[in-house]
Amino acid sequence: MPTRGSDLRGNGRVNFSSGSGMDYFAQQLINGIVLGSIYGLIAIGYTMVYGIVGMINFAHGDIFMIGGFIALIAFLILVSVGLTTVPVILLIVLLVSMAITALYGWTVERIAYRPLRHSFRLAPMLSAIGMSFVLSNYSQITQGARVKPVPPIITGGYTLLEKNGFVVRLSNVQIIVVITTIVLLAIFTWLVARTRLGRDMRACEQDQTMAALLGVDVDRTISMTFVIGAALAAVAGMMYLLYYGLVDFFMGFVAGIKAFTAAVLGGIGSLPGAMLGGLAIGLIETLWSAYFSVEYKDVAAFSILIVVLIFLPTGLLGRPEVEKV
Amino acid sequence: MTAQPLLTIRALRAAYGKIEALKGVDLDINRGEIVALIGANGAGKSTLMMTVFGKPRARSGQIIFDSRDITDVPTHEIARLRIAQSPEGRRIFPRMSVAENLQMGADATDSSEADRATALERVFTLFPRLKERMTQRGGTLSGGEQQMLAIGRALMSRPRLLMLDEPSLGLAPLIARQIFDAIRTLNRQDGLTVLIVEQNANHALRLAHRGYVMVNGLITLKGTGSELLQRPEIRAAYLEGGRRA
Repeated sequence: MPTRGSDLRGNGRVNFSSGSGMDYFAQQLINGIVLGSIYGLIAIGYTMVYGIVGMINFAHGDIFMIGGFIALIAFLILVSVGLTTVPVILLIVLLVSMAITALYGWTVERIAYRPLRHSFRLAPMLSAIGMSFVLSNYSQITQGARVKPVPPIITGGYTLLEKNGFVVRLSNVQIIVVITTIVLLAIFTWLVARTRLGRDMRACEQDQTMAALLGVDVDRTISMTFVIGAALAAVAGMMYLLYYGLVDFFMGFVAGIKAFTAAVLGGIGSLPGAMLGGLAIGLIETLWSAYFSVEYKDVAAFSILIVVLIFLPTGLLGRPEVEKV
Repeated sequence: MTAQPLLTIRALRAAYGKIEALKGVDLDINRGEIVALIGANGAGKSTLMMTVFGKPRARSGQIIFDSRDITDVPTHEIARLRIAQSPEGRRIFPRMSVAENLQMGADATDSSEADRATALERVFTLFPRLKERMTQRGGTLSGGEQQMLAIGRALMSRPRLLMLDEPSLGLAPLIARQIFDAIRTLNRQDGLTVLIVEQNANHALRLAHRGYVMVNGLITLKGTGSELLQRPEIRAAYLEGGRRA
């Protein structure tokens, strides 16, 4: 995998020249949780789709990238029409990005996966890889290949601790990323556990034929799964944009693979597992970069995945394949 | 009693890939009837029930429910016409609570809160055991409880036609009897129309107004329940010689 300037930066923006001990660790913990939140939001899309249609949606990372671009475009439009209230801008950008990205998610499922649903098992996955290329090339052609930077939208933060010249900082962006993630996860959990749509989604995941026999429109429910997954990926895309201040057409690839790893680590098919896996990968990467080397952070993340899968083949919260019938 | 047809099946053919499971089946169910479908393993009984829902789709022939041709109607829309099935293998949702499984049944048709409450009360009356298990996950129930749940779930949609695939399978005789009693009660009190598939031909034919015998994808015999019970070939194949010890 190429190391690129626009990789998710595990080490955040931390001055670690004079850091040591607990304060340094605390700072890395904060950075790791923020990165993990972004991974977790993307990972949910992988795990949901896997749960319901049994395929890995390889285009999901690119849906995340599209979400980032739409957030950027929405932001630039709002600024150019003279809007200056930051909370209002953020809210509008969030909603617009979620809505339009959801439409992308829906469209991809409709044109690339649904026609292949009753084909052989690998067909939709191959189609997903194709869609991944289509989406990244589409944004390369329409938006250009260059990295798109944005000036910091949210500035400031809090100094939690200051000792021997080392500062543990919690920036406002970090607070916003984590709070947005928590709020969206709460809404999402409520939706899956308590609403009719959520019940239908779980029914389809457990037994599509029976769900249909009980009046569930399976096609529509699967579409909604892609829509929700894409909306959450859009949030992740926007958070990425806020946090790192840039997007580019290729960022979906690495982020997608990391989030997929997070989903597998947490136990693919498990929603809390996806979030936990996301946090785990975020923390591993960040801490590895902080204490060992930035170059090998991906190696660290994937090595932990391998070790976990050797001892827990279904991931941290996955359930065993065999079920009593 | 003037026969008012509820479900009419004509020359129905269905197949799994190249294996033909139904080879031209005719079957009628009138309103308020209990109809039993008996036959050996692999005769196509379960396939017939599933084909009514379009799983698998009929290759040819016609399925008419309440004077509407439903042969090509999507499965979930058929369910909304208030046809309910307790299918082969029960197929309860293992990782949902008993309450959610029942809720899935109620969701199949648009019903008011009051309708739901009434349906739930009725299910609890028939199967008090389910009331104690409401928060338990479906997959942790015993076989008998799962069977009760599958039937209860089907009843939650307040069906006009209830299709039961081997409701007594794997149950202790006492519980099987309870279930047959429950079906009779529903039929007498609420006028519920029932199609029941059974290996236990003796029970089923005594319960049913009419019966059909299926062999190898075809209906070979039909008649009233008591008529069929008297037929020597039925006795030989499904009651005496064929009875499983």
